[in-house]
Amino acid sequence: MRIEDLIKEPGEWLRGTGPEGDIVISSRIRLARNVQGFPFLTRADAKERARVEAFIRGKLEGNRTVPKLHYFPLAELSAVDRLVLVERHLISREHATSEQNAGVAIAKDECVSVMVNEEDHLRIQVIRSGFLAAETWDQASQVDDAIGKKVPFSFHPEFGFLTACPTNVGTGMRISVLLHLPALVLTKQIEKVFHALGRITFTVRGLYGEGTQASGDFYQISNQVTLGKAEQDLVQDMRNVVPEIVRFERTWRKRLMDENRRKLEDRIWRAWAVLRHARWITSEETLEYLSFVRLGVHLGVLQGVELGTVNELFVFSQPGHLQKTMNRALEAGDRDAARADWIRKRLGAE
Amino acid sequence: MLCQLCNKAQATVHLTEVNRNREAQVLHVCEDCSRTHGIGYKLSIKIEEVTASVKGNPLGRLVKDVPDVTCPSCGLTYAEFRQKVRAGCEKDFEVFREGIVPLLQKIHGATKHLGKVPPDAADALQRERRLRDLEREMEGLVKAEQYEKAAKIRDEMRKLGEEKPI
Repeated sequence: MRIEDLIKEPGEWLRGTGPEGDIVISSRIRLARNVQGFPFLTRADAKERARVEAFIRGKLEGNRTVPKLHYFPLAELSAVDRLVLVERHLISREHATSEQNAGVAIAKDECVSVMVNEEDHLRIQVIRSGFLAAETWDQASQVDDAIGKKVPFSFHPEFGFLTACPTNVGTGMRISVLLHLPALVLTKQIEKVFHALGRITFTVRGLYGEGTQASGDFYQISNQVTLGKAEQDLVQDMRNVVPEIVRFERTWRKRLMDENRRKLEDRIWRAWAVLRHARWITSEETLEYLSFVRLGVHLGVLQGVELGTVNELFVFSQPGHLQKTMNRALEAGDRDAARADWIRKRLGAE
Repeated sequence: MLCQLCNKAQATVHLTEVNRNREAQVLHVCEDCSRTHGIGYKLSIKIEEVTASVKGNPLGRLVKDVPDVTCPSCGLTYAEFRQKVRAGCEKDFEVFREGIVPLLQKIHGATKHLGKVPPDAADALQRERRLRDLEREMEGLVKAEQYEKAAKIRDEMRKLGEEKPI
């Protein structure tokens, strides 16, 4: 399997076919683990990093109980390839800038990925489309067990799984759900969500966690605490909170349609128009317009537009995917022109 | 904008504090610092507390003077651990235990793992937990002066392999 093979399709979790898919884009669980007997990456020198990587790689590749994972040493991937993996949420931005002796093992359906030598020796990730907190945990736990049979994890009877950063100690688990909340943003109700979540130790971040504002009305909700609660409790917290937010967004979508239909339709159709005719468009703008288009499809305002097309646009209009598809590295300005051309072509418009 | 505590990473968490005069003060921190200082976890946190604790060192007045020990395994000193708030190896969690427990309390509001256990650690841990439960039970019975019942618990603990005088 090569990166070229990956980018032929949008990837399982990006298809948008999961439960509550109109609002919940994906559910993700990440488990941080370290290997017994090796120093953490904060203290490991190059030689030790290499030893850890080789050890883990050997155990992952020969492992028959885990879904087949293909290992990519990051040093062998170009900057564009790494960006593609970031855009698919298979590696973190930090990992993409790693020095030597770092890698990622990816399953063909892209639901499972294991980062090696990021902040901890292993970061096991399972990501699914839609709202599937319990199922995602089941799968993550299975992968964890399968790898744990071959790789002895650092574990302390009192503190739990040991990690370099104390903020991950215990379960080592970060559970996140990515939500699309355009109605709550439009009606300025989104602040209420932030406050409610703060009270139960959950954090809210924008799409890739950058800047003060979320891109395209996408918000990622995750737990903050990893110690003192069992994994099932953290999953249950998410199951308590997310349906409320989903209900809240749906309520305000309906209200917008009932009370402000013409204005909302206008914004949706304008977004659609720009995407079909622009000659120059940044990825930031694209996300904003696509957010309206996505809303438009789910509200039935934009008839005849496939959700699959919208999802494809999300992924392939991003810098890494764009450059990979066009098979050459592009400077920012050229990218914005290429992006506009690609989108118009994809939408069959002039 | 950069995190106002570490000045290294981008600020993505914005803590707003409104005082009695309805004046607002905002602190911009990165994800890492926000977790280390329990921002977003604690309901009422004073910006002044947070910034003061960083000036001295990340743990501030939270930790009394813990001796500056060095981990024999990875060579990390306690001072370095306090400064970077990162462990160097698994042994650090015992070597720096005195400082780590209050730090975990601050970050997570808890200091004990209640979740999943890897298979090879499961038996030892189960035994450990059972012993702690029995110990608590025994203490309760002693307080209530139910010495016979307490003695039975003590016997059970002995069987599990621990001696405890009543």
